[in-house]
Amino acid sequence: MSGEALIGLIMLCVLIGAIFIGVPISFTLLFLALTFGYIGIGATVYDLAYFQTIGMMKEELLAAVPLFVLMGFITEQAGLMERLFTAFRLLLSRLRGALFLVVILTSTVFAMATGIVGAAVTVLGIMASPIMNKSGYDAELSAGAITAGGTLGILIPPSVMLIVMGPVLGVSVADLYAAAFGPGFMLAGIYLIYLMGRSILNPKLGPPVPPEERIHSAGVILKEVFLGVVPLAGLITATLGSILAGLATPTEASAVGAVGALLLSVAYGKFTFAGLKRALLSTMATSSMVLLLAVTSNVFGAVFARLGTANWITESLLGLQLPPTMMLVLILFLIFVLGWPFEWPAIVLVFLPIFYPVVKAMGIDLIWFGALVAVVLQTAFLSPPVAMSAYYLKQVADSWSLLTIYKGMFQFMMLQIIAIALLVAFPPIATWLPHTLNEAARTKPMSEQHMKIIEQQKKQQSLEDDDYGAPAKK
Amino acid sequence: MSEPPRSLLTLIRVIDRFTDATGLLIALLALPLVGAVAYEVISRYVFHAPTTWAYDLTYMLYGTLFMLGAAYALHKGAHVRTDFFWDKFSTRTKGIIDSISYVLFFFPALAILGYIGFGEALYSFNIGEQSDQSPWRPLLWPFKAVVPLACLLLLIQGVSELIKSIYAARTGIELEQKEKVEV
Repeated sequence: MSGEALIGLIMLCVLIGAIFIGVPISFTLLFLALTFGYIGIGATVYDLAYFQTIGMMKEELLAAVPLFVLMGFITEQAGLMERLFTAFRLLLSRLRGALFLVVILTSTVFAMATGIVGAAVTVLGIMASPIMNKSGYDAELSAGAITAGGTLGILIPPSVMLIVMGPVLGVSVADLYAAAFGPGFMLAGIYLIYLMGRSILNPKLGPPVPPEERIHSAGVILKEVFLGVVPLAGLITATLGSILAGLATPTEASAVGAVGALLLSVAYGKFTFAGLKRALLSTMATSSMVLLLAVTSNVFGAVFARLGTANWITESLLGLQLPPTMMLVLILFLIFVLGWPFEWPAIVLVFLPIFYPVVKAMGIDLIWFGALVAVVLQTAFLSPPVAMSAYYLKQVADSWSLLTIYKGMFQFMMLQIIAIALLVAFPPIATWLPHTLNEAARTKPMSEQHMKIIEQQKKQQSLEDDDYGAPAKK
Repeated sequence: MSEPPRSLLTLIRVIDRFTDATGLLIALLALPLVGAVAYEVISRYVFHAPTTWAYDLTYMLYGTLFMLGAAYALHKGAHVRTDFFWDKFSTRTKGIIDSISYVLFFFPALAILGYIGFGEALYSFNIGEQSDQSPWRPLLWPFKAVVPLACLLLLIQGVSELIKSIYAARTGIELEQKEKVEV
């Protein structure tokens, strides 16, 4: 290990120490990179820092982050989640455990319109917790269902986390999106099976909605379902469908999604300038936090790599000679442990780049790995005692104690672990959709225009040829 | 000391209002960002006439939005920190840690980045640098000036935050309660 690599290692230890104490991560990363970088590589570090910054600002792909966040906030303000909730509730009220079913369905659909967690847990907490209490639902299971359903927003596309993860892992965001659908829906399914199973075994946990709260006219129910579900479903299909079909980039789809959400909010009569202002400010605060961290952690990562520490860590981990599956489980376990104290932006942007070369060197499918990391980090939202979703729920549902929420979340954390095990054992859960889509794209007949261009390119010299610049052979 | 000196309170209030006002202006940039991308989508996919300017404008607006928005995010306490131990600390301890980290990490790092960024923006202005990303080829210096400007806005808001944390460290009273941002 060289002296420079040691400087990098000390830098990493200082960083971990500092952020454990609780100082804001972005600025610490920048400061440590500049200081330790200066000690290790001299004034070059300033140029390195600047070019990482401006380079990040030029990443057109990441423009999808503020746009999808904005789409989520506008959809939330348009009251679409309330509508979904009402529609599902009217439809399903006769069943045992109806409200559990409604919460999971609402949050799964809403997760396809938002890229973050906060809004879903907050809105569900406000809407669902009073009626669940009134209908005599088990408090722990209710809190667990709301927090678990809400965290699907970070996993199911258009997840902001996956946009940020794409460049880190060097895979396309469209592939990651396609890979996240399988695990996302599987989790929703597992939640449903668990909740319904328990309420069927013990009806006291989740009785049907009391008859006086039901609406019996089929016409009213149909109208509510049509108005509440169909427009949002259309918006989601247009946005996510165009990404998956390879028609639009995530950035383009996110802008269309934001416009669509705005139009829906006007159509529902929920548009106000005050609401738009709130959405814009929240969008800026959230995306600025994530993206500034992306900038500073890129500066940190560049210095870290330049010092040779990144290589050293990769080689040391590879030197353990673990079989790929063991290594994968080890890395996922480390990410899970890190997920307790750290929030996802820190893990994806600071720690994932450290593990990434190892995963790549072992020949592990990076799309599958991305989906696994996403599920593990979603689990981190549900792991007491430091869990963001408990915090969001507690703010709006005062009748439940933090302990009740934790107990509920813990049950769902167990379900998450089952899901992760399934995903490790059966990679196609994640990789089937992206591979099928890519295969479909590859076998699609190309237009003649494109064929001509490719033919021309084949004849031309390429920089990759060994004899580039030599006179062309006749 | 129950009340901080009036002059300092005024300073905090002026700075916070400044950041709120500039923050709102910057947040409005999301609208032209949506507009530019949506316009490009429509003109490309519906009218088959892609624009020359949308690509450059997209990354410029996005870069400006999040960099300049960082000061507002600081004001709202949005920049992530680990709350593993943090929530258990007393207000005074939090104030002490914050004061130290502002003085030690925050001001020097942003001053350096701002200084380098200013030099680069000035150079870009002097040579009339143009973008090479698209045929539109806009001048790049306004975009490059975003880096030093973002640092300046952050430093200004940092002064207010530093005063608040020193006050918390000395008296154990929080002048403002910050909410956690949604991620």
